[in-house]
Amino acid sequence: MSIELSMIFIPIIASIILFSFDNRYIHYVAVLTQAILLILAGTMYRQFILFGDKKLVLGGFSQIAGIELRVDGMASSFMLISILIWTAVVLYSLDKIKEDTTFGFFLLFLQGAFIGFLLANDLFTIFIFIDLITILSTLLIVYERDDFSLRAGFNYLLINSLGTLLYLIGLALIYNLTGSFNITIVSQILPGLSGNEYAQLAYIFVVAALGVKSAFFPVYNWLPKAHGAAPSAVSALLSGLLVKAGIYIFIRMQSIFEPVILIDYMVYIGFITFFSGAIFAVAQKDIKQLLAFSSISHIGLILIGLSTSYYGKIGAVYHIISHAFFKSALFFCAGYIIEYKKERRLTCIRGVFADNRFMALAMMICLFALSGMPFFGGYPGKYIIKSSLKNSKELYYLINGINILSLVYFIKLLQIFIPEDGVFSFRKAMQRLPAKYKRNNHIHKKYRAKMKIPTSGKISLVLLVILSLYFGINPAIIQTIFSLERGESIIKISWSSSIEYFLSLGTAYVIYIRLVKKEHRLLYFLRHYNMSFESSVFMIVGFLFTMMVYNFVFNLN
Amino acid sequence: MDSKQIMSLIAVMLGIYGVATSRNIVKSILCLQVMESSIILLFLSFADKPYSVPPIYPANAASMVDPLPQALMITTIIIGSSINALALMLSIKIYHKFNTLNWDEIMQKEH
Repeated sequence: MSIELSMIFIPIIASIILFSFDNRYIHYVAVLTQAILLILAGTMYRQFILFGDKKLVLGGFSQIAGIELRVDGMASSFMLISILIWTAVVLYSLDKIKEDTTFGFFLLFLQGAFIGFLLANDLFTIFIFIDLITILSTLLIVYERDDFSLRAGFNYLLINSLGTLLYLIGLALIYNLTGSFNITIVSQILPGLSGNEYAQLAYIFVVAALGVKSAFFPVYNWLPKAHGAAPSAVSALLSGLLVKAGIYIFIRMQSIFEPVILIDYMVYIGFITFFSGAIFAVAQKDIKQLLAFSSISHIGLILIGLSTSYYGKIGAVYHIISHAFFKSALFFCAGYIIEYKKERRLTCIRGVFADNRFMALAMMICLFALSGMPFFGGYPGKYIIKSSLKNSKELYYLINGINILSLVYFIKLLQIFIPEDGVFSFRKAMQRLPAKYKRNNHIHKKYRAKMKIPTSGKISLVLLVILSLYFGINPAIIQTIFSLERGESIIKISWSSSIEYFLSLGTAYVIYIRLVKKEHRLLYFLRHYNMSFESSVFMIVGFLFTMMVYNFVFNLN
Repeated sequence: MDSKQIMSLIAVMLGIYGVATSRNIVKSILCLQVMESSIILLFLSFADKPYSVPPIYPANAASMVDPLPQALMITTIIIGSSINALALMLSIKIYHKFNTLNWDEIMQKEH
C-alpha cells in the first residue's frame, strides 16, 4: 500500500480498533496513531521537497474515470498542519477518550476523512469526503446531547448538506462541459471556457457551496451556534481546521477555473465578513461564542487575501496556518476555564492568572497572536494581507479601521485576567494573589479545588503555543510551501507597522471604555439577534442569486 | 436545456422552497431529499443521449449511455440516505428534548 493510501486508512482502522476492544490502555492507540501519521506526513513532505508533485490513480482505472490522489505543496503542508492539530486535540481530550471510546472513534474517523479530502484530486471524491466530514462533525457537535448542542448540530447538518447539494449542481454542470471529474483534466479544459455562461454558472454554484461550508458573509449563521455548543476539543478542531476545508477547495477552484468573474465581488464579501464577524464578536458575552465569531472575522480576512493578488494569497495561506494553531489553543484554554469555573460569561470570569499561571500565560500568548501583535503568530499573515491592498487607498484604510474592531474584542477577552479583587497588577498577580486566594478560600467555596491541567493537556498547549510563536518569528517558512526563491523577502517586521498596531490598540481601548464597557444599546441588539432557520436558507439562496445577478445582469467584471 | 433538465431544476427550486418554509423539521428533511433526488435526475439527464440503452453488461458499447454519472449517482444516493438517517435520528432526539417538531418553537426556546 502506498504512503498516501495508508495515511487515509490508518486513522480509520485505528478508530475501529479503539471502538471494538475494551482495554485499560486502549486510549493510547489514538496517540500512537498520531505519532505514526506524523512520521508518515514528515516523510511525505520531504518527498515532496525532493521530488515535487506526485500523482496516483487507484484501482487500475484510466485518469478520466478513476479516483486520483495527488500530493503537492498545499496538500502536504495542510496535511502536516492538520495532523499537528489533531495530535493536540487527541492529547487534550485523552481523558474523554479513555472514558468513552465513541468520542475517540468519531475523532479518528474524522481525521481519516479529512486526510482523504486533502489528498483527493477529483471533484466527486472531494464531494464524498465533504459529506463524510459533515456527518462526523455533526456527531461530534451533538456529543453532549443537551438541548443547545442538539439544536445546533441539527441546524449544522441541514444547512451544510444543503450547501453540498449546491456543490453537486456545480459538478453536474462541470461534467457536462468537460466529461470528467479529474482536477488535472478539468483544469486543462475549463480556463479556455471562461466566456462560457455554463462554466460561470458552475463556478457560482461551487462558490455558493463553499461559502456555506466555510462561513462567508450572509451564510455563517450555523457556525457560532455549532462552535459554541460543541465540546471544547471539537470547537477547536472545527474552528481551527474544518472551517478551512471550504477555503482549501476555494483555492483549488481558483486554480481550476482561473476565473475572470467575481474577483471584486469576493473582496467585498471578504470585507463584509471581516466586519460583521468582528462586530458580532464585540457584542458577545459568552467566551466561546466570542471566539467563534472571531473565527468568522478571520475567514473574511483570509478571503480578502485570496481574492486580491498572488502576494495576498501567500498571506492568506500563512494566516490559515497560524490561525489554526492559536485558535485551537484558545478554545482549549476556554474549555479549561469553563470546566473549572462553571461559567461562560466573560464579565463573570475573573482571576485566571491566580488559578493557573501556566494556562493563563499560554492563553495570553495566543491572544496576542489573535490580535496580530508583532512577533506573535497572527502578525505576518495579517501584515501581508494588509499590504497586498496598498494599491487602493480606500480599501487599505478600511481594513485598518475594521482591524480596530478586532482589537476591541481582544481587549474584551483580556478582562478575564483581571484579579478577583479588581486591582490590576502583573507583579501582584504573579506573586501575592495565590496566597491571598488561599486566605479567602472560605468566601469562594465554589472555586476551592485548584484548577488542574493534566499532563497531556499541558503538552498539547505547549505544542500549539510553540508552533504559533514559531510562525510569528520565522515568516520565511511560507517560502517552502509556495516554493519561492529563498532570497525573496516576503515580510519584514517594520517599525511603522508596529506603531500602527499600537495606535490602533489605543483607539480600540478608547472604544472599549466608551461604548463596550457601558453596554451600548446596539450591543444588546446584536447579542440577541438570532436568525431563524428559514432565513438562513433564504440567505443561501440570496447569496447564490446575488452572485448570478452581479455576473449575468450587471456584467460588472 | 431540454425538458428533463428544466423539470429537474424546477424540482430543485421546489425542494429549496420546501426546506425553507416547512414549519415541521421532518418535512424539512424530506424536502432536502426531494432536492437531492432532483439533482440526481439533473445529473443523469446531462449524461443521457436519445435512443441509448442502460450500461448493463450485454449491451452494445456504442449505444450505451455514459456509465460514469450513473455509478457516481449510486454513491450520492447512499450518502443522501445516510444523511437522511442521521437527520431523522436527531429529530427524534429533538422531539424527546423539546416536545415539539416546530422550527420556531425549537429555535426560540432558551436553554
